[in-house]
Amino acid sequence: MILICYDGSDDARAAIEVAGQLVGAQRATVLTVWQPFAEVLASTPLGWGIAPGVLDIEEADNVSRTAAERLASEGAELARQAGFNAEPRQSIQLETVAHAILDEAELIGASAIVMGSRGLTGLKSLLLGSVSHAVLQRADRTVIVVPSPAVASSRKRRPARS
Amino acid sequence: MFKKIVWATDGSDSADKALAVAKMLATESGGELVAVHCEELTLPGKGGGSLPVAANEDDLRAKIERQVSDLSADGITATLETTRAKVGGAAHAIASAARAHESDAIVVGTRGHTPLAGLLVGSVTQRLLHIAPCPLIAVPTRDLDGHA
Repeated sequence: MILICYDGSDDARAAIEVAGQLVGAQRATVLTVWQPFAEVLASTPLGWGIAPGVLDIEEADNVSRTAAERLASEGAELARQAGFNAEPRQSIQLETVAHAILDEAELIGASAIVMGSRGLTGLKSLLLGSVSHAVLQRADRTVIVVPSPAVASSRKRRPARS
Repeated sequence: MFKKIVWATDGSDSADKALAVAKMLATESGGELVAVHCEELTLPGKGGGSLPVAANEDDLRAKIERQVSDLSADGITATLETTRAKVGGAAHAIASAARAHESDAIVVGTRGHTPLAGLLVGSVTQRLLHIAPCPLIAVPTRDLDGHA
Protein backbone atom coordinates (compact mmCIF):
# COMPACT_ATOMS: atom_id res chain seq x y z
CA MET A 1 0.00 0.00 0.00
CA ILE A 2 1.33 3.40 -1.05
CA LEU A 3 0.22 6.75 0.34
CA ILE A 4 0.09 9.50 -2.27
CA CYS A 5 -0.32 13.08 -1.04
CA TYR A 6 -2.38 15.19 -3.40
CA ASP A 7 -3.23 18.89 -3.26
CA GLY A 8 -4.03 19.44 -6.91
CA SER A 9 -0.73 21.20 -7.66
CA ASP A 10 1.52 20.48 -10.64
CA ASP A 11 4.13 18.80 -8.50
CA ALA A 12 1.48 16.57 -6.90
CA ARG A 13 0.38 15.53 -10.39
CA ALA A 14 3.99 14.88 -11.40
CA ALA A 15 4.45 12.85 -8.22
CA ILE A 16 1.56 10.55 -9.15
CA GLU A 17 2.94 10.01 -12.62
CA VAL A 18 6.45 9.20 -11.40
CA ALA A 19 5.13 6.99 -8.61
CA GLY A 20 3.15 5.04 -11.20
CA GLN A 21 6.32 4.26 -13.13
CA LEU A 22 8.14 3.47 -9.94
CA VAL A 23 5.76 1.43 -7.84
CA GLY A 24 2.53 1.32 -9.84
CA ALA A 25 0.18 -1.66 -10.14
CA GLN A 26 -0.51 -1.83 -6.43
CA ARG A 27 -2.97 -0.40 -3.96
CA ALA A 28 -2.72 3.28 -3.15
CA THR A 29 -4.53 5.78 -1.02
CA VAL A 30 -4.67 9.30 -2.43
CA LEU A 31 -4.85 11.73 0.45
CA THR A 32 -5.96 15.36 0.48
CA VAL A 33 -5.55 17.19 3.78
CA TRP A 34 -7.85 20.09 4.65
CA GLN A 35 -7.63 22.72 7.34
CA PRO A 36 -10.54 23.25 9.75
CA PHE A 37 -11.98 26.75 9.46
CA ALA A 38 -11.31 27.57 13.10
CA GLU A 39 -7.59 27.17 12.33
CA VAL A 40 -7.84 29.34 9.25
CA LEU A 41 -9.55 32.05 11.29
CA ALA A 42 -7.05 31.84 14.10
CA SER A 43 -4.24 32.45 11.64
CA THR A 44 -5.78 35.58 10.09
CA PRO A 45 -5.16 39.08 11.48
CA LEU A 46 -8.83 39.34 12.34
CA GLY A 47 -8.67 36.19 14.38
CA TRP A 48 -11.93 35.32 16.01
CA GLY A 49 -13.20 38.89 15.71
CA ILE A 50 -15.42 38.14 12.76
CA ALA A 51 -16.53 34.71 13.80
CA PRO A 52 -19.27 34.86 16.44
CA GLY A 53 -22.71 34.87 14.94
CA VAL A 54 -21.47 35.85 11.51
CA LEU A 55 -19.96 32.69 10.13
CA ASP A 56 -21.23 29.17 10.41
CA ILE A 57 -18.00 27.32 11.12
CA GLU A 58 -19.57 23.91 10.69
CA GLU A 59 -20.86 24.90 7.29
CA ALA A 60 -17.44 26.27 6.31
CA ASP A 61 -15.86 22.96 7.34
CA ASN A 62 -18.39 21.03 5.29
CA VAL A 63 -17.39 23.07 2.26
CA SER A 64 -13.68 22.42 2.91
CA ARG A 65 -14.26 18.73 3.45
CA THR A 66 -16.28 18.42 0.26
CA ALA A 67 -13.60 20.30 -1.69
CA ALA A 68 -10.94 17.96 -0.27
CA GLU A 69 -13.04 14.93 -1.20
CA ARG A 70 -13.34 16.23 -4.73
CA LEU A 71 -9.61 16.88 -4.96
CA ALA A 72 -8.77 13.43 -3.56
CA SER A 73 -11.12 11.82 -6.12
CA GLU A 74 -9.39 13.73 -8.90
CA GLY A 75 -6.04 12.49 -7.56
CA ALA A 76 -7.31 8.92 -7.31
CA GLU A 77 -8.44 9.09 -10.93
CA LEU A 78 -4.96 10.27 -11.97
CA ALA A 79 -3.46 7.48 -9.88
CA ARG A 80 -5.67 4.89 -11.63
CA GLN A 81 -4.48 6.22 -14.98
CA ALA A 82 -0.92 5.81 -13.66
CA GLY A 83 -1.62 2.14 -12.92
CA PHE A 84 -2.57 2.18 -9.24
CA ASN A 85 -5.55 0.55 -7.64
CA ALA A 86 -6.37 3.84 -5.94
CA GLU A 87 -8.88 5.04 -3.38
CA PRO A 88 -9.42 8.69 -2.47
CA ARG A 89 -9.35 9.89 1.11
CA GLN A 90 -9.58 13.25 2.87
CA SER A 91 -8.23 14.03 6.28
CA ILE A 92 -8.56 16.99 8.61
CA GLN A 93 -5.40 18.82 9.61
CA LEU A 94 -5.40 18.85 13.40
CA GLU A 95 -1.74 19.75 13.88
CA THR A 96 0.36 20.19 10.76
CA VAL A 97 -0.06 18.78 7.25
CA ALA A 98 2.95 16.57 7.93
CA HIS A 99 1.28 15.09 11.00
CA ALA A 100 -1.89 14.37 9.04
CA ILE A 101 0.16 12.63 6.34
CA LEU A 102 2.18 10.56 8.82
CA ASP A 103 -0.94 9.56 10.77
CA GLU A 104 -2.62 8.38 7.59
CA ALA A 105 0.50 6.46 6.53
CA GLU A 106 0.49 4.73 9.90
CA LEU A 107 -3.23 4.00 9.68
CA ILE A 108 -3.07 2.31 6.30
CA GLY A 109 0.35 0.71 6.92
CA ALA A 110 1.86 2.42 3.89
CA SER A 111 5.20 1.07 2.73
CA ALA A 112 6.00 4.40 1.06
CA ILE A 113 4.80 7.99 1.03
CA VAL A 114 4.79 9.84 -2.28
CA MET A 115 4.70 13.61 -2.40
CA GLY A 116 5.54 16.53 -4.65
CA SER A 117 8.05 19.19 -3.76
CA ARG A 118 7.14 22.83 -4.21
CA GLY A 119 10.72 23.66 -5.00
CA LEU A 120 11.09 26.58 -2.63
CA THR A 121 14.69 27.37 -1.85
CA GLY A 122 16.72 29.49 0.50
CA LEU A 123 14.98 31.92 2.80
CA LYS A 124 11.53 31.20 1.45
CA SER A 125 11.79 27.53 2.33
CA LEU A 126 12.96 28.41 5.84
CA LEU A 127 10.15 30.86 6.44
CA LEU A 128 7.34 28.91 4.87
CA GLY A 129 8.42 25.60 6.24
CA SER A 130 8.35 22.57 4.08
CA VAL A 131 5.94 19.69 4.32
CA SER A 132 8.41 17.35 2.67
CA HIS A 133 11.11 18.29 5.20
CA ALA A 134 8.79 17.65 8.10
CA VAL A 135 7.59 14.33 6.70
CA LEU A 136 11.14 13.19 5.96
CA GLN A 137 12.20 14.14 9.47
CA ARG A 138 9.65 11.91 11.16
CA ALA A 139 8.80 9.19 8.68
CA ASP A 140 9.77 5.61 9.45
CA ARG A 141 9.03 4.52 5.92
CA THR A 142 10.37 5.36 2.46
CA VAL A 143 9.52 8.86 1.25
CA ILE A 144 9.54 9.67 -2.45
CA VAL A 145 9.72 13.39 -3.19
CA VAL A 146 9.08 14.41 -6.78
CA PRO A 147 9.88 17.90 -8.08
CA SER A 148 7.38 19.40 -10.52
CA PRO A 149 8.46 19.26 -14.18
CA ALA A 150 9.20 23.01 -14.10
CA VAL A 151 11.35 22.75 -10.97
CA ALA A 152 13.15 19.65 -12.26
CA SER A 153 14.03 21.26 -15.58
CA SER A 154 15.29 24.45 -13.96
CA ARG A 155 17.45 22.42 -11.59
CA LYS A 156 18.78 20.47 -14.55
CA ARG A 157 19.80 23.65 -16.34
CA ARG A 158 21.76 25.17 -13.49
CA PRO A 159 22.66 24.07 -10.01
CA ALA A 160 20.29 25.49 -7.42
CA ARG A 161 21.84 27.40 -4.56
CA SER A 162 21.01 26.45 -1.04
CA MET B 1 11.61 5.78 -17.12
CA PHE B 2 13.93 4.53 -14.41
CA LYS B 3 16.77 3.87 -16.78
CA LYS B 4 19.41 5.32 -14.55
CA ILE B 5 19.36 5.43 -10.78
CA VAL B 6 21.87 7.23 -8.62
CA TRP B 7 22.56 5.60 -5.29
CA ALA B 8 24.17 8.20 -3.07
CA THR B 9 26.35 6.51 -0.49
CA ASP B 10 28.65 7.61 2.30
CA GLY B 11 29.38 4.02 3.26
CA SER B 12 27.05 4.15 6.28
CA ASP B 13 24.47 1.59 7.39
CA SER B 14 21.80 4.04 6.34
CA ALA B 15 23.23 4.03 2.80
CA ASP B 16 23.08 0.22 2.87
CA LYS B 17 19.33 0.41 3.49
CA ALA B 18 19.03 2.73 0.52
CA LEU B 19 21.05 0.30 -1.60
CA ALA B 20 18.43 -2.42 -1.07
CA VAL B 21 15.78 -0.09 -2.51
CA ALA B 22 18.01 1.13 -5.35
CA LYS B 23 18.81 -2.47 -6.26
CA MET B 24 15.14 -3.42 -6.29
CA LEU B 25 14.33 -0.49 -8.59
CA ALA B 26 17.21 -1.29 -10.94
CA THR B 27 16.18 -4.94 -11.07
CA GLU B 28 12.53 -4.19 -11.74
CA SER B 29 13.14 -1.55 -14.38
CA GLY B 30 16.22 -3.19 -15.89
CA GLY B 31 17.94 0.13 -15.31
CA GLU B 32 21.51 1.06 -14.65
CA LEU B 33 22.79 1.96 -11.21
CA VAL B 34 25.39 4.63 -10.54
CA ALA B 35 26.85 4.61 -7.05
CA VAL B 36 27.95 8.12 -6.16
CA HIS B 37 30.32 8.57 -3.26
CA CYS B 38 31.50 12.01 -2.30
CA GLU B 39 34.64 12.19 -0.25
CA GLU B 40 34.34 15.26 1.91
CA LEU B 41 37.58 17.05 2.68
CA THR B 42 38.39 19.32 5.57
CA LEU B 43 39.19 22.95 4.87
CA PRO B 44 42.92 23.35 4.21
CA GLY B 45 45.01 23.86 7.33
CA LYS B 46 47.96 26.24 7.69
CA GLY B 47 50.15 23.92 5.73
CA GLY B 48 47.63 23.98 2.90
CA GLY B 49 46.74 20.30 3.14
CA SER B 50 43.25 18.94 3.66
CA LEU B 51 42.19 15.54 4.88
CA PRO B 52 39.13 13.38 4.36
CA VAL B 53 36.47 14.22 6.94
CA ALA B 54 35.87 10.54 7.55
CA ALA B 55 38.93 9.11 9.30
CA ASN B 56 38.12 5.68 7.87
CA GLU B 57 37.65 6.98 4.32
CA ASP B 58 39.77 4.16 2.85
CA ASP B 59 37.65 1.50 4.57
CA LEU B 60 34.46 3.18 3.43
CA ARG B 61 35.63 3.31 -0.14
CA ALA B 62 36.70 -0.33 -0.05
CA LYS B 63 33.25 -1.26 1.27
CA ILE B 64 31.50 0.69 -1.48
CA GLU B 65 33.74 -0.81 -4.18
CA ARG B 66 32.84 -4.24 -2.87
CA GLN B 67 29.12 -3.41 -2.91
CA VAL B 68 29.36 -2.21 -6.51
CA SER B 69 31.14 -5.35 -7.65
CA ASP B 70 28.49 -7.42 -5.82
CA LEU B 71 25.84 -5.59 -7.85
CA SER B 72 27.65 -6.42 -11.07
CA ALA B 73 27.88 -10.04 -9.97
CA ASP B 74 24.09 -9.96 -9.49
CA GLY B 75 23.69 -8.93 -13.11
CA ILE B 76 23.02 -5.24 -12.52
CA THR B 77 24.91 -2.71 -14.60
CA ALA B 78 26.59 -0.74 -11.86
CA THR B 79 29.37 1.82 -11.84
CA LEU B 80 31.05 3.76 -9.08
CA GLU B 81 31.69 7.45 -9.28
CA THR B 82 33.81 8.99 -6.55
CA THR B 83 33.87 12.73 -6.26
CA ARG B 84 35.50 15.12 -3.84
CA ALA B 85 34.11 18.22 -2.22
CA LYS B 86 34.81 20.53 0.64
CA VAL B 87 33.07 19.58 3.85
CA GLY B 88 29.36 20.32 3.44
CA GLY B 89 29.54 20.01 -0.34
CA ALA B 90 28.37 16.42 -0.70
CA ALA B 91 24.75 17.23 -1.61
CA HIS B 92 25.82 19.51 -4.44
CA ALA B 93 28.32 16.91 -5.67
CA ILE B 94 25.58 14.26 -5.70
CA ALA B 95 23.14 16.56 -7.50
CA SER B 96 25.83 17.38 -10.09
CA ALA B 97 26.48 13.69 -10.67
CA ALA B 98 22.73 13.10 -11.07
CA ARG B 99 22.59 15.94 -13.59
CA ALA B 100 25.62 14.68 -15.52
CA HIS B 101 24.19 11.15 -15.70
CA GLU B 102 20.69 12.45 -16.44
CA SER B 103 19.54 10.14 -13.70
CA ASP B 104 15.86 9.41 -13.20
CA ALA B 105 16.00 9.13 -9.42
CA ILE B 106 18.37 9.54 -6.52
CA VAL B 107 18.11 6.97 -3.75
CA VAL B 108 19.56 8.03 -0.43
CA GLY B 109 19.46 7.02 3.22
CA THR B 110 18.03 9.49 5.69
CA ARG B 111 20.73 9.38 8.35
CA GLY B 112 24.31 8.97 7.26
CA HIS B 113 27.38 9.46 9.41
CA THR B 114 26.14 12.30 11.52
CA PRO B 115 26.99 13.07 15.13
CA LEU B 116 23.25 13.44 15.64
CA ALA B 117 22.54 10.09 14.06
CA GLY B 118 19.03 9.00 14.77
CA LEU B 119 17.90 12.45 15.79
CA LEU B 120 17.88 14.41 12.59
CA VAL B 121 17.62 13.63 8.94
CA GLY B 122 21.10 13.98 7.49
CA SER B 123 21.97 17.38 6.13
CA VAL B 124 22.89 15.88 2.77
CA THR B 125 19.43 14.36 2.33
CA GLN B 126 17.79 17.54 3.59
CA ARG B 127 19.72 19.66 1.10
CA LEU B 128 19.07 17.25 -1.75
CA LEU B 129 15.36 17.92 -1.26
CA HIS B 130 16.06 21.45 -2.47
CA ILE B 131 18.48 20.80 -5.29
CA ALA B 132 17.83 17.32 -6.70
CA PRO B 133 17.15 17.53 -10.46
CA CYS B 134 15.01 14.37 -10.28
CA PRO B 135 12.81 12.46 -7.81
CA LEU B 136 14.46 11.79 -4.47
CA ILE B 137 13.80 8.48 -2.74
CA ALA B 138 14.67 8.75 0.93
CA VAL B 139 14.97 5.44 2.75
CA PRO B 140 14.76 5.45 6.54
CA THR B 141 17.04 3.39 8.70
CA ARG B 142 14.04 1.87 10.38
CA ASP B 143 11.97 0.49 7.56
CA LEU B 144 8.71 -1.13 8.58
CA ASP B 145 8.72 -4.07 6.29
CA GLY B 146 11.99 -3.71 4.50
CA HIS B 147 10.76 -2.73 1.07
CA ALA B 148 9.59 0.39 -0.67
